[in-house]
Amino acid sequence: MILSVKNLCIAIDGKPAVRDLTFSVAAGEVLGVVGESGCGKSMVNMALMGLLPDGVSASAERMEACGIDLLRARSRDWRALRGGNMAMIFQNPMSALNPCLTIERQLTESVLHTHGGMSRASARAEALRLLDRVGIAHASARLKSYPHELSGGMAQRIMIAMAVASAPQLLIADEPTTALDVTVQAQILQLLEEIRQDTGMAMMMVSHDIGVIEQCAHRVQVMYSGQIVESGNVGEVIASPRHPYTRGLVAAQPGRNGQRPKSRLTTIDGSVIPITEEVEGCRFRSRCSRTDHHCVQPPTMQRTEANSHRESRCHW
Amino acid sequence: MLRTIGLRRLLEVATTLLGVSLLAFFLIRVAPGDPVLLLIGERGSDPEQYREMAAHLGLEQPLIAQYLQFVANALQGNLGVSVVSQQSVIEELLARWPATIELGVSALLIACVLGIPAGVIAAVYRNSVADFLIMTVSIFGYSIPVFWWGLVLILCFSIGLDITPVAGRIDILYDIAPITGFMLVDTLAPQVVQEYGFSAFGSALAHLALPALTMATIPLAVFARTTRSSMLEVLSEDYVRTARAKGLSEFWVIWRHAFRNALIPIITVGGVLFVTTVITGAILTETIFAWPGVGRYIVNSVYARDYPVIQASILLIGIFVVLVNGLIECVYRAINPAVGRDSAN
Amino acid sequence: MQTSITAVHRLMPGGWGNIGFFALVTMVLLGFLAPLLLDLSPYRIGAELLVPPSWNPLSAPILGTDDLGRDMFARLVYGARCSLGIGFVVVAVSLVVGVGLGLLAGVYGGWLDAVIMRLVDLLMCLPSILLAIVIVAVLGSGLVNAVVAVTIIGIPRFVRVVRSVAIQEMQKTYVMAAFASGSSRFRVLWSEVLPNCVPPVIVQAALGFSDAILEIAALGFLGLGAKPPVAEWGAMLADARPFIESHPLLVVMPGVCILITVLSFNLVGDALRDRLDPKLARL
Repeated sequence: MILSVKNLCIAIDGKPAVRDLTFSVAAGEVLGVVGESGCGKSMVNMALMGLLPDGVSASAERMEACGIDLLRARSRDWRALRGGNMAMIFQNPMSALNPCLTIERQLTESVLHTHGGMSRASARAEALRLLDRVGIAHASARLKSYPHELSGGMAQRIMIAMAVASAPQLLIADEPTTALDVTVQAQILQLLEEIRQDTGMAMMMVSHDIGVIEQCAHRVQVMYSGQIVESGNVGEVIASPRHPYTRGLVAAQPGRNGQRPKSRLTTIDGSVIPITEEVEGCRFRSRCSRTDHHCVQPPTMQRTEANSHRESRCHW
Repeated sequence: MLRTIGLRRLLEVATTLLGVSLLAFFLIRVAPGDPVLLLIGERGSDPEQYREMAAHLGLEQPLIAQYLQFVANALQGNLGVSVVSQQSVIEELLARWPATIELGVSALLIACVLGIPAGVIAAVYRNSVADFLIMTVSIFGYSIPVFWWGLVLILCFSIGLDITPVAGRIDILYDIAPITGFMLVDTLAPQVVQEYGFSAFGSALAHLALPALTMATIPLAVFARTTRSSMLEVLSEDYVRTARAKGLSEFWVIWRHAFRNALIPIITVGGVLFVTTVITGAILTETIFAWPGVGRYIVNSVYARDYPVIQASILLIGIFVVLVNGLIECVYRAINPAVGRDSAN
Repeated sequence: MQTSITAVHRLMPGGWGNIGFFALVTMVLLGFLAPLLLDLSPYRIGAELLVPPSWNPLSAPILGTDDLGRDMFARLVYGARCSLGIGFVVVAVSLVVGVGLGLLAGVYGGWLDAVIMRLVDLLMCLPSILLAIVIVAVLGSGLVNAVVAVTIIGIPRFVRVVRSVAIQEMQKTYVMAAFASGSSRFRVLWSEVLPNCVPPVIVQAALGFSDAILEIAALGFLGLGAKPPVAEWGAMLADARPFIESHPLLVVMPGVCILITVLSFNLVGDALRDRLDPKLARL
């Protein structure tokens, strides 16, 4: 296992937000994480990278990445891990690049962080190779550019180049395509898939768009209001969702199940309850169409079938 | 793009200069009393001199012609003669300029070196004891009356501890020939070092210490406050998170990634401060410490109703301000690629 | 009762501003009530010169006497009245003029805007104290002329902030709607733009107060504002300068008064800005 997390809890100002997350990622595997904005997906990423903001704290029974116990990691270990075995790309590539530094500086910085004693010239050569790898034309001219001179897709490619500079075993992609045009979105997903096949790295792909997850992930876990509500093989989960929330997500996809693309969209009524709000019983209850007396009890993750890895946090 | 921006800026500069020159021009014409007498002084003026000045001002000509004459004279460096000293005003001002610049630059250096790191520390350790202390000191520094603070420093360091002199730029026992006009530089000239060793430099430094410290207080506070708020904003940006996610050390993240971006508003404020520190600070500080610079000269000229000097000072300081603002804009464009690009197109 | 408490609470700037607010209330009470309640004579020349402070509220000169034997406490109290009163006049006049010009520039635009902003630029271009000195040099020194000078240099801050608010407001949909429904520019100015200028103007007024007090004191100190024997803090400082070695407190006390007042206004101004107008960057 590249990543193994057991009962991860994250609290904002002492109030529990993310509750008892247990999941793992195997080498070379792509885990998709899907959920609405505000369900705590990004906070989990930040916890895994040790980048939680002030006032937000994480605790867990186990949190291991690439053979390192993250619970015991000191800041030095975190830094070695971040620029080494783990890397991350973000939602908005334009604001994730430093506007005052050239691409060359930002890229060689990543290269030099991984290869300590490298000379400037070879760092530059490596940067060129990386740009080439992520499909940027005229790489040597691009090195001199500033971020504001790039398009969103190009900026995200450069973010990917920076992330893979250290040949990480695990890449966390936090909504990598949300801010991009649909056509560019597909290119970026394809690029990530190519790199994954070349290097054999594992990926955690976070998105609010189940269509994106379907395209690139092997397994999926669905998050709702700080909890995992369903997990399993991507194909199976999307084909026959068990949890009412997953069902809603899948149904809300335009053009699915032979519907005409422009037919009336299905929506999930209501909105996500604030992540820090305490709820008795099932957290999806207020929006669920099938509630009964069982739903007053907090549901647990249960195998949906014997001999399968599918789990759902619903008694139905 | 450059054309329009450049042209508009140039037009703004031109109108500002026009305004400054009009202000200087009308100064003696609005002031109560006979402008001729204001310019040659009321005492000891003989009728000959009076006629000469009246002809020079061309008071019987239309106002616009008078103004053009004034500008033409100013462009030739002819800003009249001081009533008090009967010397050329422009020469007197330029002779005092290095002393003021030396003091102002020293003060601003102190303010930068202490204020900016303090602001960074306050931002990075927000809501800590250090932040609280730095912000408390800076709001005091920001509110302090400069002229009183100078006296308090004299009270502590000169009268109480007796470690610094109270007036002038150097002890009278040193005879320093001005080369650059900057005392700290001139006292390091080979012949000075040969004659006095480094004691002359030490004396100059000791004389500079208190006035520079006095003048540095307000800019220091402003630097600390601006740096803090600018850093706080930048530290919450995505690219700072990216830098951390790259595994860079916190020191590198703060100074290379955050501080560079935070610097942009700091430079803008720094430019404004430079002008206000050098001029405003000079007027009050130089008066307290008997520092022979432009500020004290202006104040004394106001006491003596030496209008040619006041007139020339406004003109020169106006030009100085415009130049400094232009310089700041260049630095600003150099450091901010997004702005710099516009100018390159 | 409840409503009056909330009203007071709403007036309070909050946080550190509250401390500044209380300090100012104390200053105002001291400056304007003390002369009525106590028998203070700041100008009576006494026989005992340079009496050191007794710090005893029961013995006569609590804070001692100055070089002419005048009661320091009385002089400082009258100084507070002088500074606060002048500050009020300066801020009130420059606020009215500045807000008016800012509204004209922002709402009507065009050549009016250009002319007003050129003038403002000119005033901002020269450092304020230099400008004040020059104005005093033209008008002649004296307290009244100093007040005029400080009022003039206080105007630009209001013009700039009001103009920027007005320009923002003019682009909003509801202003467009008001025009569309036939409102005149003046009507829009009065009922739509002006109310939105209130929060930033209050902040600027507090900060303007502190600047005005500092500048008046500076002019007094330079001998270009209040003239002896007027009990004004800046002039008192200048008066006391020759005695700095023998009686340092004579120099320290007026300065502390200026510092406390200016500091209080800055605390109030900062707190108000944080509360009323978080987006307003330092102008």
